[in-house]
Amino acid sequence: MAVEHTEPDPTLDSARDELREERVTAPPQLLDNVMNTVRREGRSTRVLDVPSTRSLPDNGHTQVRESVAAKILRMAADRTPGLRVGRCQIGEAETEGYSVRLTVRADTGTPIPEAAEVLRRSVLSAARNQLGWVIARVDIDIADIV
Amino acid sequence: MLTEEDIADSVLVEHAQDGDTSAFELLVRRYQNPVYRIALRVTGNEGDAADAAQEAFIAAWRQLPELDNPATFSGWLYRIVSRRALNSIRSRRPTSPIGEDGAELPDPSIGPEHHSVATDLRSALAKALENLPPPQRVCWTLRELEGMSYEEIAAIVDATPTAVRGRIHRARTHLVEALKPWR
Repeated sequence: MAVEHTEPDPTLDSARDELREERVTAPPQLLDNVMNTVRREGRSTRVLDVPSTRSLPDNGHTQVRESVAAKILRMAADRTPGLRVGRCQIGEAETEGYSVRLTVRADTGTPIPEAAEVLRRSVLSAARNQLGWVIARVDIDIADIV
Repeated sequence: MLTEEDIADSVLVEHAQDGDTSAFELLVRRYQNPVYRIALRVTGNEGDAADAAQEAFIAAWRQLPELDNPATFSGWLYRIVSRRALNSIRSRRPTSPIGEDGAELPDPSIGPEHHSVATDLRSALAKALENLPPPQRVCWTLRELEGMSYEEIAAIVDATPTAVRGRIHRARTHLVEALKPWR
C-alpha cells in the first residue's frame, strides 16, 4: 500500500494540542473501588508457619502469609544504605531453613560486596526476631544501578 | 530518607508482584489520571471510562506477577486500559458493525447540524471525533493525543501497523474537513 502523505493542517494541529493539554482527573471513588477489590483478593500466596516460643505452652498455631513475611524481610533489608529492595521471594523450607532471593537496585558508587553483607545481616536478624525463622541463604540479584 | 514520590515505579511494581497491596495503591494513585483519561478519550463517556479504568487496574493487579520487566509497567497498563475501553465501545454498539478497516462513514442523519453548534475550536474537534467511526477515532486518539506508536496501537486494536496508519490517515482527512469552517 502506498504511504499516505499528510499535509500539515495548522487548524487541526492547534485543536489537537488543546485537547492534548486538557487535564483529566479520575473520579474520586476510583481509587477506593480498585483497592477494595485488590485488598479483598490479595495475592493467593503460601501460608508459612511461625514457630511458637519455647517459654509458652504450644496451644495454638501461628501462620504468616508469604506476602507479609516478604514485606517484613524487605523492609528490614531496605534500611541498607545505597540499596533499594524490589522483589523478596521466599523459597521452600529446607532442613537448614528458608532461602530468600532479593532483587535489588543499587545507588551508583555503592560498594556492593559490603552493602550486600549488611543487607544479609538485616534479613537474617529480622527473620529471627520478627518471624522466629532461620534463614539458610540470602541470594541477592542486583537488577540495576540508579 | 526516600519519600513516596522518590520510589521508582519498578520498585513499587516488584513489591506489588510479591503481594504488597500498599505498593499497588501508590501505583494506582500515580496512574489513575492518565488511565482514566485514556479510557475517557476512547469511550467518550464518563461512566464507561470509570468502569474501564477500574477493570483495568484490577486486571493489572491480577496479571502483575506475569510482567517480566517492571520498567515497562506504564505502557503495559495503558495497553490494558485501552483494550478494556475499546471492548466497552464494541459491546455498546452491537447493531452497527465495525469494519476491520474502519472505512465506513458516519451516519449522515447524525451529522453536525443535528448537534448543538460547537462554539470553539476545541469543542469542534471533540464533536468531529464523536462522528468518526470508532476504529478511526480510537487509532487517531491513541496516536495523536496519547502519543502511542503504530505498533502499540496495532497490538491494542488487533490490526496491523499498516492498517492503523490507514485509519489514522482517514480520520485525519475527516477531521480536517470538519474543521474547515474554523480556518
